[in-house]
Amino acid sequence: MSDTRRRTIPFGRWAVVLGCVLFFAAPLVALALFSFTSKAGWSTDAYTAIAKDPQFWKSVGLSLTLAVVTTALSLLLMVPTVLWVHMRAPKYRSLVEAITLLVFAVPPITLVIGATGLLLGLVPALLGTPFVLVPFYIVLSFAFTYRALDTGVKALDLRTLTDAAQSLGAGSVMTVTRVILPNLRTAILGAAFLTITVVLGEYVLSSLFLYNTLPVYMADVGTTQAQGAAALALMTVLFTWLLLIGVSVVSRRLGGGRVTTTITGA
Amino acid sequence: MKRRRLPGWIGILPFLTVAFLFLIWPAYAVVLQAFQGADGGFTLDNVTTAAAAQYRSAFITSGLLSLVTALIGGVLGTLLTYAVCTLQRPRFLKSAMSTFAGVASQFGGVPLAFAFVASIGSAGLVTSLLNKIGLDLYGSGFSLLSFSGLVIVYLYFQIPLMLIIMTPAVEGLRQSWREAAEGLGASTFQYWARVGIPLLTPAFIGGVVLLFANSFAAYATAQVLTSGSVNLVPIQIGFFVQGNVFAGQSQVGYALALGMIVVVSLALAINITLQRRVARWAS
Repeated sequence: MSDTRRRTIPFGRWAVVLGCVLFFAAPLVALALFSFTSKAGWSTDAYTAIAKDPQFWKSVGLSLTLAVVTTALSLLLMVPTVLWVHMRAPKYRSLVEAITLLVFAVPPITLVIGATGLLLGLVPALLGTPFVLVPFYIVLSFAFTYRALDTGVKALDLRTLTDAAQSLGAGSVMTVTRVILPNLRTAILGAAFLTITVVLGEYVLSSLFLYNTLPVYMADVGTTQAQGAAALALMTVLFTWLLLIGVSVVSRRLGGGRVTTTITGA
Repeated sequence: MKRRRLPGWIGILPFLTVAFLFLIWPAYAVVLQAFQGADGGFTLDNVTTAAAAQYRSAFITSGLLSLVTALIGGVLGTLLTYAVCTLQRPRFLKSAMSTFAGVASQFGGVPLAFAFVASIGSAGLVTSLLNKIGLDLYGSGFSLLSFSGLVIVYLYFQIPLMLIIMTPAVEGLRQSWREAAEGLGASTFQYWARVGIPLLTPAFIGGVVLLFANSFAAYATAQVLTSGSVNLVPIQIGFFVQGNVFAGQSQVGYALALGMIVVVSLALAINITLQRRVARWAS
């Protein structure tokens, strides 16, 4: 029998898993420990220094504002679009999907160089406000939002839901607001989570358009004090994980399926 | 009484407008400007300059970095996927790993750079730990702020991305196929050589190509970590944006950006073709 020649513990596979876990965990553990060190030994100096820096609070404020505005506008744009192509215009579905994937073909750095001349030439005033970043962030999160919402809609039995709602006398608007949207809550939550992480982590556009978002501030701190940057990086990582945990707890409460927080390549 | 239905394109018009203004038009501007001289006339000068010595070496370094991290990340990611998908003992292993991979594959940028500064930077904790046991990392010529340093850092998001890509393919390998092979007298080696590996190959190549594009396009981590000391294409483009765009002096940056779009698009096209093939047999 094959069972007799199989080892009880698959050493090779465990070696791969443990090696990778070590590789993934070490930088995070080092980050946490490093942020609590100074020349004198253990200390929380890095954290107190950051908390005292008014620029830190400005950057946090800016990044959070951008995250909220981007997420709200992105959902306002993408939820109706995804619902529309599923309910009314299926022939445009592949077009919309193709455009969302096009984002991967135009790396952010090329988007920046293509957009600078454009914005400066057309609406120079736009470059004076950090909200110029919002439409680009919406575009950067296209693929994530689309995929999360699309998966959510596909998991619903859209036809049955609309037929049932309509046979009970609901119009299109009522069907969407009272039946479909409540059923899409977890998908919307997943899309929002992905958009927020994209915005909070975005460095390329904000640094090159010269706006002091959190990652730009972090890079700036890092040029003079490594511990401070480590503290900021750790806080960002922890915040992301907390957000992820929060999103999965809420979605479980809502009783929806698994939240799509990943995207399978292009 | 039936209301008149709106034409289908109306509903996607807002989406198309945003995509056109902030994605397609900038991309078109790159293509247009790459072939435009400072005087506005058509020229090939930008492209030839972008292909000359200094910039060519940026393409070579970027390509090499992407190739190395895609291959190592691809192999390690595939092995990890196989291990995670087939180990049954800790039940949480698979879901924990795939959740982690979801976050880690996006964990590029600035925090990642500092996580590695804190661990294998010249004053990092792992570096000093290795020093204590007699291994002098930096004495042996290694530097985090070099090509090999970037390879290690990039693997942090490449391996998780490969895990996400390979999971459906590895899960598609049915236990019954293995049993059938064994029933016909195949050894473990024969099973992998004739059945397992050929089945995983399209997904693997597609994944490696996607990893290549992913690494080729990455800017933030390399910029923050090396401050531009490693000559990469995105960093060169960044120089143009920082220095020249507002003065409208040089057009070469556009040609570099065009080169980058071409390379990344090619990689994505190959990936999509291969993924389709995988989807066909896996379904």
